[in-house]
Amino acid sequence: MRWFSLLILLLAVSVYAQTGESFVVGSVNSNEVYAGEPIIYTLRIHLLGEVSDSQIIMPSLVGFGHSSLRIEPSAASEVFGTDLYTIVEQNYLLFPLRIGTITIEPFQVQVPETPFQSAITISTDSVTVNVRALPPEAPEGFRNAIGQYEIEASASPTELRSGDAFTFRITVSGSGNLEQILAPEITLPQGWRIFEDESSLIQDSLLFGSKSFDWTVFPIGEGAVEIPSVSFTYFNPQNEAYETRRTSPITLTLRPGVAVPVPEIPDRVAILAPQTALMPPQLALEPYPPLWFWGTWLFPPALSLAIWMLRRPRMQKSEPQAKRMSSSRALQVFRRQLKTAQTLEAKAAYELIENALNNYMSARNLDINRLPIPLKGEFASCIDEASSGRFAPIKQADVIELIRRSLAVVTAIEKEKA
Amino acid sequence: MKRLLFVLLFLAFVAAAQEEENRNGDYQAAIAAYEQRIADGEASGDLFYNLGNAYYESGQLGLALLNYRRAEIYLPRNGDVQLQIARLRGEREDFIGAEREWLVITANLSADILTMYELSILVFGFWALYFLLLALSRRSLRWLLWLTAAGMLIGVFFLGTRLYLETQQPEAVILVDAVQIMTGPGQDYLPLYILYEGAELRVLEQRQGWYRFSLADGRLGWIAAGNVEFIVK
Repeated sequence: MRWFSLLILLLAVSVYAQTGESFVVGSVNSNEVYAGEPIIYTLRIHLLGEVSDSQIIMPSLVGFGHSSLRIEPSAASEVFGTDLYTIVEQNYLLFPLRIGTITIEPFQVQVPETPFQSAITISTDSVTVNVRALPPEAPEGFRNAIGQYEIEASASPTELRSGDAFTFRITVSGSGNLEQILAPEITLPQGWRIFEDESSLIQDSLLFGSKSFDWTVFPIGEGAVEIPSVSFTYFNPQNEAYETRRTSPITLTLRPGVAVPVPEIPDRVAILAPQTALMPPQLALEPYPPLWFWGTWLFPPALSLAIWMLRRPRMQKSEPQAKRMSSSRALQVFRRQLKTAQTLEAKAAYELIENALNNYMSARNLDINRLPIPLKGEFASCIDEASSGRFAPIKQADVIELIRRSLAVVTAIEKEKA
Repeated sequence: MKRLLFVLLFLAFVAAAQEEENRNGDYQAAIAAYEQRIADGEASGDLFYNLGNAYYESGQLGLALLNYRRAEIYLPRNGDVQLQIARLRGEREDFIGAEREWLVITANLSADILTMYELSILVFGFWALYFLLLALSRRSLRWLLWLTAAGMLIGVFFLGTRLYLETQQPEAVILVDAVQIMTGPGQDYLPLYILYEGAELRVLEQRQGWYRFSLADGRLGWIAAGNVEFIVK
C-alpha cells in the first residue's frame, strides 16, 4: 500500500530546469530509502507544441542498480499559461546499492528541431537520495528481498508413482525488488532427487508482480508424503522489520513405482583414492603458439604475390598474340562476306560490301583517319562506291571490281599494321 | 652433452620422487614439489593434472579445479582430465550449470577438441592453401578455392572467439571456502549472494582490486580480487 501511495504522490524532490521553452523535470518517489529498496525515478519531459522524437541520455547512475524492465513512456497534452505542451513521462526503477547519500546525476534530453523551436538539449537537476543500512542481525534465510510479499507453494501432479517427476513451484508475489530476489531454500525428504529449473518473473507494473521458482523433483516412497512448508524472509521497509512468510505443507500421494535404489555415496577419499592415479608424461604441443608462428602467416600471401609477379610478364606477352588472332579472324570474316556478295544481286552485293568494310574496321578497332593517306583515300573511295553505287545503274562486273578493290585495300591495311 | 644428460636424469629423478610422494599420500610434499617445478617455468598437462590430484586429495577443491582446468588447456581431449573436472563441478557447493552465451558456446566447440596451437595450425593450413590456389588461378580449382576460403573464415572465427574470451573475459576459480559477492566494487555495497570454493566465473571488468564477473547461469556480481585466480595467467 505504501508503494502505491508513494507512486501516486510522487514526492517532489526536484526542481525543474527550464531552457528555452521546453523543459524536463526529474523526481524520485522517496529520497529516504533502505539499501536495496527499489525507488522510481520519474522523468517528465515538457515539449512545446507537437510531439517530437526526443532522445533521453541517461547518466551513469553510479551507486544504483537499474532494472532491465522496459515500460513504454506515457504521453499527454497540458496547457501552461497560453502554451500547449506535450508531456512525455518515463519511469525508471532503481535500486540503491550502497549506504550513504547518493546523487542521481542529471538526465539529458535532446529535443530535435520543430516548427516552434530549434534543436536544444535540456536537462534535469541532480537528485539526492539518502540510503540507510538494513537493520543488523538479519534472520537466517534472508536473501536481500526487500518489500512486501506473500508466498505460495504448489505441486503438480500431487498423485504419482514413486520415482516419477513432479514440479514443485514457489511463487513470491507482492511489491519490491522482485527482479533481485533469489529462490528460497527448500527441504525435501531424504533420497528425493531435485533439479532446479529457471525462474519466471511476471511484472504487473514497475513495483508489483510475482516471481515463480520451479524445481523438478523425483520422489521416493509410498502413501501420503508431506512436503514441509517453505519459509521466505524479507525486509519490510514500511514496518522497518524483517518478516517471514511460510507456505502450507503439501501432501503427495505416492503409489508404488519401479524401485530405483538411492545410490549410496561413500566417503570421497575412499572412492577417489584409486581414481586419481598419476598421469604419465604426455606428448603434447604447447597450448599457445609461439610468436614466430604468427610471423609464418606472412609467407603464403608473400609467395602468392611472388608467383603472380613471375607470371605477369608471360600474361602480358600473350596479349599481342590475342590481337593477331583477332586480326586474322576479322580478315576471315571479311573475305567470307565478300564471297557471299559475289552470289547476290548487284545492289544487295554493294550493301553487303559496305557493311563488310565497316565491320572490318570495327572488329580491328581501326580509325580511318589514322591510316596512311593512300590507303585512307582508297578505303574511303570503296566505302563511297558501295554506298552511292546502290542508287546508280550498276552491273555484275562493277561488283566484281569493287570486291577486288576492297580486298586489295584491306590486305594492304593488314600489311601496314603488321 | 654429458651435462644435458645429467640434467635430464636429475629432472626425471625429481619427477619420480614427487610421484612417489603423491603415491604415498604425502600430498603436501608433492604439492610443494610440483609448485616448485611450475615456478621454475615448467608447464605441461600431466604436471597440472598431478598437482590437481594432490590438491584434490588434500581437500583443496578450488586449487584442484584450477589445476585441472589448466591441464585441460594442454590436454583438451584427455578423458581423465574431463572426468576430474566433471567430478569437482558436481562436488562443489554451487550449482552453476553450463554457459549459454553464444560466444562461449562457439568458443567451446573448438576448445573441447583442440588447443589454441592446434587450431592455429589448422587455420594456417587453410590460409596457406587459399593463397596457393589464388596464385595458381586455375578455373577448374575455383570450387576448392571457395571451400578453402570458407574453412579459413570459420577457423578464423573460432580462433577469434577464443582469443577474445581469453583476453577480454578470462575465466577464474574461487579459491577460498566462501566469499560474499557484492553489488559493487567495495565492502560498502550491498551483499548479493555467497559463492563457494571451486566456483568458476568469467571476469568482465577490473576496478580498484575488485572484479566484476558473470556466472554461467547469468548471475552478475563483484568479488574481491584476492579470492580468485585466473586459469590462464
